[in-house]
Amino acid sequence: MQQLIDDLKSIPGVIGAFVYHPSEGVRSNNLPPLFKNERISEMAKGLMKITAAGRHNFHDLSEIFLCYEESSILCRQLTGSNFLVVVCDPEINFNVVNMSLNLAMEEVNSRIAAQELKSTPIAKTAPLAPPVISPAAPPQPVVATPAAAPASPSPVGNISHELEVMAQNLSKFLGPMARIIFDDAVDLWSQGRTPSKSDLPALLDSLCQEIGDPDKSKHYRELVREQLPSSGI
Amino acid sequence: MTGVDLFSQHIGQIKGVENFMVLRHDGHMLTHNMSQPEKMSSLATLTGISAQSIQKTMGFTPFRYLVFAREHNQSLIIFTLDKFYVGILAKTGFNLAELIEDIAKFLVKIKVKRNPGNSPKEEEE
Repeated sequence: MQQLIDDLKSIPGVIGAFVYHPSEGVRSNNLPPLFKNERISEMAKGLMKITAAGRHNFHDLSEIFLCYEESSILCRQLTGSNFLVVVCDPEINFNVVNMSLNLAMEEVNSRIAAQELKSTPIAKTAPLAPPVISPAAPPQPVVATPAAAPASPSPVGNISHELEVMAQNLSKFLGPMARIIFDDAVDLWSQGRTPSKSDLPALLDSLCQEIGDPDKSKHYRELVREQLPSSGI
Repeated sequence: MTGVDLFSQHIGQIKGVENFMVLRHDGHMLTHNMSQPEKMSSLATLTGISAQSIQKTMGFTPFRYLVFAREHNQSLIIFTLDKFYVGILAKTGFNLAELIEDIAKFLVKIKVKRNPGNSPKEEEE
């Protein structure tokens, strides 16, 4: 992530950037030392408030941009609950910085999604901040997935291990898009019923269709069966 | 024609402006042609406070404007003008940089013309 915000810093007019997570604080930062960590965190909290207020009115909010006399701040949500905050010169061209960010963030989003797939179990709690639909980040479904409804009993809670295994293996075939496709598939699959182990073959079939390639689908099916021998798949 | 009327007439003529509002920092609306003025005025007031809080925390120079950017919809731009906020809903797809520049120029003209401390209401008198 550090490398990526360093790339952003190379855009003319960009003073520096950082990635902020509402519960974990500042994750990466390349702002000049003049910007103290405590102040950066305070700024990020303010930006979270503005983003939340904006999203309350505009569900399709893609980013916020604050301009002061001698500096400006752009805040955009990455995948998950990570926010990218870029501090720029005030005269920076909004369109130029946007386009540059879109390009850079395609890579940022892919890397973060890949990292989260590797390190995050599927039943992780939902993000603290509401998701913002970013032009560079495809919207993530928020219904009927184990990750999206931690507060109430999940309809798929008793098979969360099986789902986790299926999601993790899917990432080997679909990369960063795996989680999004998996969530979509689970959403469709669990509609109108309380899924159980006996329903898992239907989900597996649906995921194999998403993979698209017969050989890869076969391989995926075998991997899941190996790792879930008692699931009835 | 009152100062507020003139302001509304001029700002409405700027290319890219779909809707506008003028409100005091406390959220009191002076003029608008918005469809949901209460929601927009609350948003402007609350986010204006947060923007100024960031300004104080970071030691930034005065806050000029804030953009709520939406890819395929009207973006909202909130400018600060002394004791007031000017909110602009931009036409979908319109070049925001161009619009911001035009509005900023217009607001600077007003600032220059106005006597310090006067509000648009006071200008009516």
